[in-house]
Amino acid sequence: MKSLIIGSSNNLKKISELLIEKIDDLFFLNSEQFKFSSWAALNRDNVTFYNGEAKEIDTLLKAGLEDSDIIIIDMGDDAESLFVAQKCNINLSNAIFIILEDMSISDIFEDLGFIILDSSNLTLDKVVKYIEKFK
Amino acid sequence: MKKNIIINGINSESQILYEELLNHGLDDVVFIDSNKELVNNLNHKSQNLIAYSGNPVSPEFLEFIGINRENSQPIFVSMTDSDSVNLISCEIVKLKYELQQVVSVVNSRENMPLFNAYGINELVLKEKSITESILNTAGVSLPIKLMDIQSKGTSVWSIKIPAGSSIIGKDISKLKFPFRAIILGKIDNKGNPFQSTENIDIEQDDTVLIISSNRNEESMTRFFQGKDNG
Repeated sequence: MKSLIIGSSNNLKKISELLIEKIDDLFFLNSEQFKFSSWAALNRDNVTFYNGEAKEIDTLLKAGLEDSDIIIIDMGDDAESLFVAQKCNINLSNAIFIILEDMSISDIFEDLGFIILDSSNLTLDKVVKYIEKFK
Repeated sequence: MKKNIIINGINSESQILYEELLNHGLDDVVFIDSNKELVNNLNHKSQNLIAYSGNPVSPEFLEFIGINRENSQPIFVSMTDSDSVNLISCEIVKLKYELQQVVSVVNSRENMPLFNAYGINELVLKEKSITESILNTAGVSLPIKLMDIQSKGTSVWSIKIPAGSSIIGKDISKLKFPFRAIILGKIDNKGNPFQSTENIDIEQDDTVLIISSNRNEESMTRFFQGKDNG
């Protein structure tokens, strides 16, 4: 099982630390790679860091989009996170989680097939359940 | 029913649009932008309060500026320099408030299929006119959208066959596309129309008319340039 994590928020760090024991390969993509330097716990053989513009499809493909079973996005701005999520939505077999600040728009994007997580009240139940179901 | 127009994004293009709307008697127009300075500057120049600062993807803010105003027909036009903001704000007004009249600028050609895929079909590609001019000068032809098939994400397209295209000399009735499309026919360089059922060869500078989904725009470009049709 492979996962692509897009962004570098603290919420993503928290999720990644959970996933690292449960996922075969983790790919990280962010335009500010220096932020990954503090993610020491994630320096493992099964982790790959990519530096690039997540809003460009070529960058997403290079970072492993096509091979990823789970994609988790937090760009630090709801519009950007939702936009990148929709760019990532190229096949039906993967799950795309989006971390949002404004939950008043979550129903719109859940109806489009995305799984929404609340930035200010992050619970990982949905991610864990998905991984267990997938396995 | 009175139309109220909401323009997302303050820039030179949106201000020109505003003047045009006023000239056509459409005077119920407001601007929204997340940049307070742009909002303040525009309000200083205007006699009335016409611009509001806020988050264009926040339903609370959109409702404040009249997206769901009763007894009115809102039209939402997104013209920011950010395709993220344009797409997401258009999706929210279309899906949450069921607005039918939603128009967006698309800043990057790469994002055109994304807007179409999510049902935002009234689009203006910002870079198109400049890019088209340069590419046409360089001998590359791009498909031109002649008509939208309303709310289907499909259009009638014309494309001029450039010199060097590898479909030159091929029978129009036997063309096979690597995407779903209906070929209507061709117009030769003297203006004579031919149906697609006629056994006639495609020549340089012919204009071919086809119906296809908007998401196939780039595939069409590649096909008629001759890179994808072997």
